[in-house]
Amino acid sequence: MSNISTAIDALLQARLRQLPEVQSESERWHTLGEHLAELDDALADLRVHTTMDAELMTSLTLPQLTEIQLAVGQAADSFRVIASRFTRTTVNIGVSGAARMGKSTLLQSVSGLDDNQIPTGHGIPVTAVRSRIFHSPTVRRAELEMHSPESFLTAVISPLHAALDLSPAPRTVAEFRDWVYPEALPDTRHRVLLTRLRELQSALMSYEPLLTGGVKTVPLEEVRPFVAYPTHEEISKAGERVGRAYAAVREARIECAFPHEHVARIGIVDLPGLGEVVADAERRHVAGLRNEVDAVLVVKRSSDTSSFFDETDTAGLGLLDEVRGFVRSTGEFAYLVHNTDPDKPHLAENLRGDLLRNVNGGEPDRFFTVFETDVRDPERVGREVLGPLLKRMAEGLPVMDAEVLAGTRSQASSVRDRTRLQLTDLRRALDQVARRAGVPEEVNEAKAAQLRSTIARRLRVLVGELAAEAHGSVLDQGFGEAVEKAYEDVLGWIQDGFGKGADTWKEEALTCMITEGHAAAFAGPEFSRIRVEISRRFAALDDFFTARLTAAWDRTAALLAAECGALFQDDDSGQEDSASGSDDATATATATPSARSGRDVLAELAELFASSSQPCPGLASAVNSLLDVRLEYRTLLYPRVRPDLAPLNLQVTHPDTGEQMQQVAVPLTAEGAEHLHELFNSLAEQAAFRIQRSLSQEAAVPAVVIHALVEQFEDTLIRSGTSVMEFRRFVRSYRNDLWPAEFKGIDEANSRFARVLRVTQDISKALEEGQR
Amino acid sequence: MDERSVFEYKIGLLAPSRVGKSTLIASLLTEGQQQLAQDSSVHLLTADRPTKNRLGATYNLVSGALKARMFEPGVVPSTSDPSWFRLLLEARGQDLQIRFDMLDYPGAWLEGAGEGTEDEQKWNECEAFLADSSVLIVPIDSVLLMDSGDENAHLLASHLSVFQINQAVLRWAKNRRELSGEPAMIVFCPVKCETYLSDSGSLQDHAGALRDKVVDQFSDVLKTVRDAAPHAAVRYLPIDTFGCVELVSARWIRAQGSPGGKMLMPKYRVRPPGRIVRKGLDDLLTLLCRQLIDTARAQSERATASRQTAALHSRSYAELREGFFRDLWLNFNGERDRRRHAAASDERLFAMSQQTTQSLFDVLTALAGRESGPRLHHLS
Repeated sequence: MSNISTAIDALLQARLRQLPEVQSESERWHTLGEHLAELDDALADLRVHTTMDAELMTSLTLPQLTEIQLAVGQAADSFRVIASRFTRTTVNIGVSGAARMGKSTLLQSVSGLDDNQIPTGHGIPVTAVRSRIFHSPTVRRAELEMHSPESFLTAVISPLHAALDLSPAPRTVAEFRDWVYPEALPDTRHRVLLTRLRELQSALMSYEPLLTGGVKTVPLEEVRPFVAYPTHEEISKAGERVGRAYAAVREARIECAFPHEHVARIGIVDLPGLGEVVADAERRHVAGLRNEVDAVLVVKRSSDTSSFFDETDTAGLGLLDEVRGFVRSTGEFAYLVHNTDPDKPHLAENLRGDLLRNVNGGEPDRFFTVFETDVRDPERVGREVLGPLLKRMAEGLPVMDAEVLAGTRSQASSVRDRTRLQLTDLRRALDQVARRAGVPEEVNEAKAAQLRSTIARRLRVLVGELAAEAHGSVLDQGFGEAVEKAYEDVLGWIQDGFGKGADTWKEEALTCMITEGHAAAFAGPEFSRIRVEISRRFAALDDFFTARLTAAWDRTAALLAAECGALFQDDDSGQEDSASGSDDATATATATPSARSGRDVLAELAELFASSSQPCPGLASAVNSLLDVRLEYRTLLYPRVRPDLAPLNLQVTHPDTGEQMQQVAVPLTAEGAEHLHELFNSLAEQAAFRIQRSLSQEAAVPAVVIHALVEQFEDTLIRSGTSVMEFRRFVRSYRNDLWPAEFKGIDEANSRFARVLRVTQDISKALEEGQR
Repeated sequence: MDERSVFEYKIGLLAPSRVGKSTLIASLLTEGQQQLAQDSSVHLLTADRPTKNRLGATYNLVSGALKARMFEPGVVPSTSDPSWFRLLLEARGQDLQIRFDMLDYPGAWLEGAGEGTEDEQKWNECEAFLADSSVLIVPIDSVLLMDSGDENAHLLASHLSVFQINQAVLRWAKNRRELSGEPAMIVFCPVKCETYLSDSGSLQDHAGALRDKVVDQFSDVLKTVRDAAPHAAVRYLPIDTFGCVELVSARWIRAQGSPGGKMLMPKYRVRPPGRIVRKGLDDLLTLLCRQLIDTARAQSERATASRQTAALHSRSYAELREGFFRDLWLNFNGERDRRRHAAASDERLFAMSQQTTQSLFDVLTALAGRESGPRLHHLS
């Protein structure tokens, strides 16, 4: 491997190493953007509350918030672009330039493709679809990303309509087909665009079936109509019926072997022609450059009509300067290719002089490096353009990457500082609001203590009931019934010839035994199948477990809702009807919002604990632990009944001697199959019976587990070290919702206030994380 | 019946109906016969025709069912009348025969404690027999103990007839206490244990659980024995009468007249190749023989001592000198000869008693001498 290739590989590796960090930075800025949006929303909510006077309302308005949101969005986007750049497995070189400058010819010379894949034309534009070409020593193919009808209308037709001031654009392909366009327009540029639009309309039949979306792979030999405009000859021959398959192609990815050195990790991107008469061309140009290329070659041909750097060229370089971003010098990103014609040296001389004077200020390569070559000659292109360019890139790209990253971080840092400043102002305003709307702390503490002790009393009663269910003498009838049902189901299946019908089973057994010459061939797999099926059928007990667990959640939710019910009321249900604040320890499940499950209520309570202005992680964790439980036959009881399935094996182990014993020895006859059926029947039925017996002995298990769960919940919620403190925090954040009659007004504001506080804390946290 | 003297050995069987007493005795006979097969001098056989017929019928039913791989409960009909199994142990060249008299105490009687029995005489015979037995065997249905399920646990004591067995044991124990010089033994024999004990081919070993359940369910009976006849030996010996059957499932079905209106209906499978492998019966036979020896020794020693006293007295009386004329007169009227004859007769009886005791030891040596197996446990 050459030095250049090694350097490029090292660069790509270095990018990959930095990728996770860049991605997480992008994610953090994105999250910050979401928090800011929520802050905007929460502030608006707080401002309109009835207790707010004009002064408070003004203090709660952050004039720079929108601007900061925009800057944060841009920071997220910048990191996303860098991440996209670092994700690539190739170094990409964009080839740009005005139409008819030899751009496609240069692409041919670099890639080794010919007119059949990258068409060139004299005097007319030929490249219809943007292509990306990658070196591959083994593969030769084109992958075409096809437009869907919607993307075709959005990306192709709408821009043309917009450029021609023909609004609105068609919403369906059928509408486009029937659209009536003017015959001609006075403006020249418009006329060209209109012609293009009409051509697309008249040729719709030829490419409409191709508007499929997805990717289509074609051999390189057939790619031309998909990427190039039809030739003059084709148009003359077919007239309006000429095919325009390219219209259905969004982009082409071509893989082929480049006939040059150092190109193992190189991709060439054909960029839309600068100055080309295509709607929206410049914007598309810039968008393509930002995400996909590491350097750009701008091709300029010295010709009879254009041997100086004109306005279009200058504008093109201006665009590249925009894209450069935090790269210190445009010259490290954009390079000029002076396309010379050896037969017309005087024209080359003119352009050379113009470039030196007008582009590089009289000093060669001062601002832009100029590669001079004849783009038609692949050997010269390799030697005079590709070789020097790759060498420059191998040295310069790591520096550019570092510049881009450092620049983006520096910009992001200033956004972070501005955000902090705004938060400081906001906190001051919030203090002002809190002072006016405050409730004495001793009132708060008393309410928290009352709430905690009332919930504790209710939980004690529930835990007592569950203990009686778990350890009492009365068996859980439901469990017995569920076991019996599963057992009967298994027996039915066994009697039905193990799900096959007894005769079929015996027939299959006989056939297999005779074919294989021994009974084990059938019996071994059949034992396995029966074991699995019996286990599966007993797993129907999961329904019972789920019902028991759901009931426990419902009961727990009901008692919590009896104290905190107003928190769970829908906005339109009215708080007047709430049963909250009751001291009655016998409140029933009706206190739970009837349409909601206990699980939902508990989940909401956990969220309220976690997201209150002063978070209550201990209380949230207690509720989440109660919810994060699954009672399953597989884990709870299966280990206890598994030994009961042991006899359902071809070989069994004697418990005393450890000796392996063969269970199946039958003659290979119909009578033998009959014996085998009897044996399987009795063993399967015996296993089912033993499992049923084993399970019956475990009848108390679900109730014991549920009792333990709720008791643990009670312990964590009421008696953990942080319980008292977190109940106070909870009451501070939600006292209005908990006791609307007592804290009306003030605390309604308090919950909105809490939301603003919480989001502010989230933003601070995100900013701190970003800085780390 | 020949003219040889017979030593009778009484054994009481206490169990509700359908536990499998007939099968147990038939198996005991077969096992004893197999153990003695190598010893041509001792034979175990049925002592009378009814025993022969009943055990024969039981044997045929069981072996037929095993061959057909279909073992259904109820195939062995339950005993409705009191009946005695009589097995005879005899030794060639010995004048003594040993007869095992086993009362198959009718399960129905036990369940009803004899109430309503029309035949008062038979009931009294049973009671007298039990009081006379030095050994009680209590067969227990292991399937009931182990697989009746928690939901019907409250019916277990009724189906095992624990109260009734306790009452019968109490009467037996009181009688034994009065004869405290004699050995007494009660053996708790769980039967149909093939599913729970691994030494006859089962893949699971619940021996400990089975014993615990027996001790738990019959704790009152054990207490009764300890209180009323502390000297009595209490043994635990699970028995497999077939060895090659295994419980498939057991479910409670409606049954009028049964406790709780239902009964446990087991379903068995025959373990291939369906060959009978009895377990525990050898130990039972050994236990019975050892017990028999102890009993016989005590009885025999008592009889021998009494006959020796009688013989010595008779001889001394026969040879007593009462004065010249008196002696002359006794010789003359034949009285002296009569006395000597009586003395000789008493001396023969004494010699016979000694001989009987010796014969018992000789006959039972083969059966009583073997070591006990691991199934046998002491419960007292």
